[in-house]
Amino acid sequence: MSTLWRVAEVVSGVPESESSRTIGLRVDGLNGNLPGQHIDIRLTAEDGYTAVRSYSVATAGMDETIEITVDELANGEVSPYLVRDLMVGDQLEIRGPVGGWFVWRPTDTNPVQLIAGGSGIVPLMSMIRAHEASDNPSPFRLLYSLKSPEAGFYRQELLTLGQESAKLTVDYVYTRKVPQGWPGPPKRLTEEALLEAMLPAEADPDIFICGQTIFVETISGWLVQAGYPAASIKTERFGGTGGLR
Amino acid sequence: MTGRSGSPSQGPEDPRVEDQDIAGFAGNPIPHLDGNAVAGPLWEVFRIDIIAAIGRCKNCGAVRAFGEALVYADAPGIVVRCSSCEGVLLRLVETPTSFWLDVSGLSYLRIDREGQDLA
Repeated sequence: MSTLWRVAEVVSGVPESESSRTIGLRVDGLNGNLPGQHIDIRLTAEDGYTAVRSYSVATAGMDETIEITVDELANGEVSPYLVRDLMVGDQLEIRGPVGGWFVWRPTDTNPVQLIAGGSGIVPLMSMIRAHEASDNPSPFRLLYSLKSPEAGFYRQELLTLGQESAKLTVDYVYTRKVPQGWPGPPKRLTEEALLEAMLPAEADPDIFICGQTIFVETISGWLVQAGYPAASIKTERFGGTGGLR
Repeated sequence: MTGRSGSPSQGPEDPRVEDQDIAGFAGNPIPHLDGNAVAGPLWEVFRIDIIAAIGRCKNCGAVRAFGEALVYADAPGIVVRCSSCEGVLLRLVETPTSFWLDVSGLSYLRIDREGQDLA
């Protein structure tokens, strides 16, 4: 049985926030990814011990290069290496991109509501980029919950898109520290604030939620209670060291 | 996922609680992931993407997308449970030489023959 693992070359590494890095990977023969898919990365120690982790793809091209954004976890087994030590020119073993369910396709016609908690923004950014690059006219709305402005991923790109794109609206919730001039103190997302930042249920949006387990479960619960059909909600949880980052 | 892992339980003593993005806690002592989280290992076994496939739970009869299932990965193997009844749909253990796959909790999978170009 042949393997699906293949070698990726690190072609770029750029700090994305205080604790994260966006890493470009080039794979011979790769044909991009569907927006929302992830890859598995396998690291093998000299003694043969292996660790496999999943990382969502942030980009949405159709060529041999993809980008992931890795957030460093304290006591993490894999992420500190990827964020701090990995160098351009290094090689990694990857499997994928995989996953045909938590994906958005440019042929989808419904409006789309994206909800990100922290690094949960990554697969949703892939969808936003694919949507912007397509002539799909459906409105996208992103709700991004983050600790502080400095913790934000793709900050400048999202600010620019939020101001200039005619088909993307971006709302932020800052949980610890707000940017200068922000109206009000930091606060966690509440049911009320969530529903204010949502496309209305009557618009029949496809909903994608990505974040920590507790974030995903609380929000999907609130949405179902508010009348959004469970079947319209797709979720991607991460939690524990084995989860999606 | 397939990595060695241990997910600490959530609780009021957990220092990470203040790092949560949200107010309030749902009772969920055993963290799980979504069906999507096992896309890689299952692609390795099936060679096609079954995450978007529709499956029927043998225990309760629910017919749902595999991606909606509950995935428990913090164990030597992967356990996938039905999101309706929590019955076990699939178990997968990888050893250095073999995959051990138990799909006795699924009475069928309906796999779309389109859209398999990008697994």
